[in-house]
Amino acid sequence: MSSVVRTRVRGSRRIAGDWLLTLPLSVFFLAFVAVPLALLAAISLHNDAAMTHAGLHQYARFFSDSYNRGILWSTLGLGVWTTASCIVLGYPVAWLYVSSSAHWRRPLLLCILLPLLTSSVVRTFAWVVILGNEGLVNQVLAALGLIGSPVKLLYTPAAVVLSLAQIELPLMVLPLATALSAIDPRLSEASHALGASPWRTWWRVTLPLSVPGLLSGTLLVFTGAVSAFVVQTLVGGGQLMYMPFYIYQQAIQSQDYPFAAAIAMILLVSILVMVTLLNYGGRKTKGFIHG
Amino acid sequence: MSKIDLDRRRIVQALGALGAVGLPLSGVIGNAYAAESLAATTFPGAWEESHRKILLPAFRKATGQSATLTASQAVDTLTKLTGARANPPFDVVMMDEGPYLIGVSQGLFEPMPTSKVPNLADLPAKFIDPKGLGAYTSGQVYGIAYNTEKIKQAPTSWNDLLKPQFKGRVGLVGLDSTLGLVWMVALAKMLGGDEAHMDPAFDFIRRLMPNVGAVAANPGALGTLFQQGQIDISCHYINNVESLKAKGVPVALARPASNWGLVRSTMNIVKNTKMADLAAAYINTALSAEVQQQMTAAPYFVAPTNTKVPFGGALAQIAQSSSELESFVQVDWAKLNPLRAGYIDRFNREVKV
Repeated sequence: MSSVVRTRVRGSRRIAGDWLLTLPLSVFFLAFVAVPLALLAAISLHNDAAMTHAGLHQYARFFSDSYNRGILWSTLGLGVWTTASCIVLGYPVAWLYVSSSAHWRRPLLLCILLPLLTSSVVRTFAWVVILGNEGLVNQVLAALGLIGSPVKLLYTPAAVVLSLAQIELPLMVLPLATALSAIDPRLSEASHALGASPWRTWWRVTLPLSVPGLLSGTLLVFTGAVSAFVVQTLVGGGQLMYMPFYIYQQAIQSQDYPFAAAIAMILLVSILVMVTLLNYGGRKTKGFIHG
Repeated sequence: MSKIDLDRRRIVQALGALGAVGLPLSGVIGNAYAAESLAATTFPGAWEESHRKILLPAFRKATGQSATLTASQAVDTLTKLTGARANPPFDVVMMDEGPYLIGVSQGLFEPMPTSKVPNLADLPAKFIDPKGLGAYTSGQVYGIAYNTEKIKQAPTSWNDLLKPQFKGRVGLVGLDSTLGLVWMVALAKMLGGDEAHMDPAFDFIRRLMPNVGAVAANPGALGTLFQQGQIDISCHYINNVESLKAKGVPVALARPASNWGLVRSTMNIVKNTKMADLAAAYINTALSAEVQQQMTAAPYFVAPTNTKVPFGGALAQIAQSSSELESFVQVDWAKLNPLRAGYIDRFNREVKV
């Protein structure tokens, strides 16, 4: 029996066999991602909540209203700000990790991964406690005599960006560290030898070579931030509206499935556009590096 | 001995162990199916806790059967039921008034076999669905919750929330929740409007906005806001206020001049259930005087619907009997439901920062 299997694997059907291995995942993907997505798209193409008339009304309704467009922009803006914060905060950490000795890498890696090891609900509640009117930040500021009455920190867009940046940071640092450690150290040595300053070396050699890591990190952080329902709702409160909660509200509370489906499709397409642009940017930089 | 052989032996051992574990396990699963556990829903939080502690043991005692409890908000339950009409995931569900009426209009519930629910006799007629599609098993009272340390003089009216001294201290709860909606209707009624004429309530909110410190996404978050000193005054349910009090938070509930508000919840038998009789027995247990009596006690303070249950503890300061509950501010959900989506949308826009 086993010899038969072995011959088959060794034979010309090996490639076909490899494809066959992806069959379970393909079937799973088809049944639980592709089909539901098609259903979602179909639901969004109905003009009324009872789903009796087909049409594009829900999309027109979304885009003709500045309130809805505002929600889309602030959601995408949240993704951009979170990604930018993660790059600014994460690049030095990734750099430190790559340039430190093997002895220090282990504790550093643990520190980097720490946010991923606690539940996102717990981390989010921690931010709610820290940023509240009687929270850590306000108490410290008041004790130092810097403020008379509490500053409003919680339920502001900045608070959402801050807590998302902390939660998503490992997803930026890890691909960055991988990309940075793959860079041949002799390249920067050569740059130094040719008279470039450390900053110039970083700007002209290291940064362009770390772009692939930066791009995959951006992809992970951006998609994570725009769809972070729990953080957006708990830290953002009831006055800040983002797309994920809007979808939930329209589907579950207002029982308006077509509109909710349309919002979901619009969010999906917006993210896809961002991802495509990033991939395009990635290909451009590769050309730049090799050219 | 080669490494492969060793591995093979381990695999055989592991398989044997699995089989040994699996045998009794399959027995357990088989038994569980044989016992036909009833699938019921409850609301998350204190509701789930009270139902596990009080309702489930009473149900087991009364029927000798067990029930599996799933915590699910009424609107979420509604979605789960409409998603699987022919083969519903639950046999009996707990609903808020609004979602219950939507369920009735969508034909999701089955009439209760009244002979199997003798405790219906102890309920005021108003607490039973006219077509027998469910019964009100409990009520929750809401009023003005306030921080007793920061607000020395107890508020007496919803209008007190507009006082300039509460600038940045008032909490709101979104219209996504039942509490947010019923409070808006209570405001409208106080100001001469009703379910279909909510302009006075929205006007009130507009004037209130300078005082609003935070808008909670749900009633649970409202409690957190009190706990953290983020807000000092808002509408809230008595049981949430009492449970905050028990945790040492300086908070109390005051009666608005326009009267207490009441939110009722129902239990309904789901259409196409295979255990209608057992579901009826479950509702009967929930309606029994013993269970409702225990639910009125600390820390739950659930208002009973069974007329035989005396009002004790914190509830006694609010009402003396379930017929008195009838006089509290209530909402005509049949009128409100079709307008709900529009009000949610309007609220979104008007409280936006």
